[in-house]
Amino acid sequence: MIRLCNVSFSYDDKSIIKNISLRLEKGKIYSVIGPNGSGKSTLLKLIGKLRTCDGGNITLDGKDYGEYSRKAFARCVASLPQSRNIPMIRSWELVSHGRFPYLDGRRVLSKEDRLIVDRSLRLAGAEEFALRSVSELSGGERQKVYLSMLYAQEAEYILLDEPTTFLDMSSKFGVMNTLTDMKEAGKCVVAVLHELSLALKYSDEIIVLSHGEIVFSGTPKELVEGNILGDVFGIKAVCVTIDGSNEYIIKEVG
Amino acid sequence: MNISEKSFTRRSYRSKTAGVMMILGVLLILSFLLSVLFGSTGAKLTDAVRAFISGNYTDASLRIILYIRLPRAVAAVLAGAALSVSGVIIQAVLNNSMASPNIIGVNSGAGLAVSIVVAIFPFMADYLPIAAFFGALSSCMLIYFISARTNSSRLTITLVGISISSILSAGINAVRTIFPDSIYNTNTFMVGGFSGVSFADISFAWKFILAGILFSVFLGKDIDILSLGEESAMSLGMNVKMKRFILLATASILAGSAVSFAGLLGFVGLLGPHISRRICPSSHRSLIPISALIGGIIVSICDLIGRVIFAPYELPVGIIMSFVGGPFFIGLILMGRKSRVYDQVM
Repeated sequence: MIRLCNVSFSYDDKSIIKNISLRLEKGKIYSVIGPNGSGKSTLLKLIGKLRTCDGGNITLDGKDYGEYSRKAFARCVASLPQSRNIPMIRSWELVSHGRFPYLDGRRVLSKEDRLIVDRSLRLAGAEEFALRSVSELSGGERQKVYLSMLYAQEAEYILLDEPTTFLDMSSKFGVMNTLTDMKEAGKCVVAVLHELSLALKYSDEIIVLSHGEIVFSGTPKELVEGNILGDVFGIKAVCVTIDGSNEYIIKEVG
Repeated sequence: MNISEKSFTRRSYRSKTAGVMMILGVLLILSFLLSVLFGSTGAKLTDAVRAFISGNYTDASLRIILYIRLPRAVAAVLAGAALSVSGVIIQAVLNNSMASPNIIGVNSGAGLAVSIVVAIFPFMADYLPIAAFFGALSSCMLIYFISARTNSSRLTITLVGISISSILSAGINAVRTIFPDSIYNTNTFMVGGFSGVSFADISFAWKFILAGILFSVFLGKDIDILSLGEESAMSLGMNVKMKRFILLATASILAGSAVSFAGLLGFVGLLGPHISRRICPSSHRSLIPISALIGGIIVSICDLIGRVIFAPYELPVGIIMSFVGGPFFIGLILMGRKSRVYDQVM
């Protein structure tokens, strides 16, 4: 379990994250939502050890983050940042980078590593473009390759910053279904999402941030039934059942 | 597609890379031989061989080939390889496909250090590669710290690099003005050239270049990871700051060593990496040797053209490279977006 205890973070004397406490458990999807500038990405970076908090502490399975070496931490927690370069390499090679935390000084993939890379591509549905250059793939295909890389990293905690942005609807559902597969495999998935309907449909818990503080943390049902969405976003969500599954329609409060 | 089929295809990709390297190796040997065979004078290899066999070591052809063309051909290959690999590393570390040792001021930093040593401490001329290394490293670090502190865009980093390059070039010109007789053939030094290069000039630098290229290949996987972006690399467990420092120091050793005997040779550091990626987009473990071979070929051929095109007069290789490389590079950009490796962000 990842546990944040009174965590705060400032940048240029501006307080971005204020006194946040949180528990993230395996086997669940957590969505972090909130208006622009509310500190969602910063929170994810703090959880992913890409930034160090100014106050409070974060523990992973009872041990402080500082006690983990970089590689040991990467074997437990994997992050997919929102902005990343698109290298001109084949998808298979990109996915193989997920094995980096397991490589020794020679940086040579073992036979087992190669099999894990193959399996990861298959799990994320990216097998068919394994040998195509990443730069030639569509946004949705590319995202599948990056998700394969996360699989290859074999971390128990998966952090994603806006994984569905700029994707078409079919690809968005594809990404969310892969995250559900990860959850069902026992992983903890934490995603910053802008699309509220996706967050409500796929999450086990939703964390709402506003001005660097958690204003709500609970199930989608609790969020829809409360007044938080109206207060923070000026919207309300309505749950409808289509073909037996819950879907959410977002409406502006006017 | 099952795993065994994919594995087979991966093997075919590996053999493609090996094939590319073999072809480039043959081209490098050919360009090297042509550099030794042809020059601004009419010295012939047959005459030199005949003189060597008969023990006539004072023969003009033999002396020209042994003491002028041969060191020059070796220097061209070494400088081309070093600057091209330095360009690959700098582009990866700064995440900027427009960065190269000459554009961001690494060459100028090395050049200023060389100028100062030659002008003020001429008795330390044996240590020129070391001075060039520190000059190159200072420029590299300056750019790196500015980009790291300000979180600048790629365009800003390039503009900062151009400004630093301009300041350092002004420094070189100031040294040249104050100590006009300090650098032999200063015009050639400013544009880059191999006129008058001897084995003594490269005796120190070649070891650094060879070691630098081998070390870069060894760090190839790390450069691949770094090329994904800072946060992705950190997420994979890399100590990004330390790795960047090591890589920039390696790029500085390569560029500094080349500048110490070739002068401010530009463009190959930009051209080499871009051509390499077009030919064989691959991991840096393959890209670096390919880039070294291409850099060596480019400089070798450009130097040969410079020597024979207006023979017996010579044009410094830097001028030829700009004439040939400029249009070629524009063509590469117009032909497609494939060379914009580090410009694509999602």
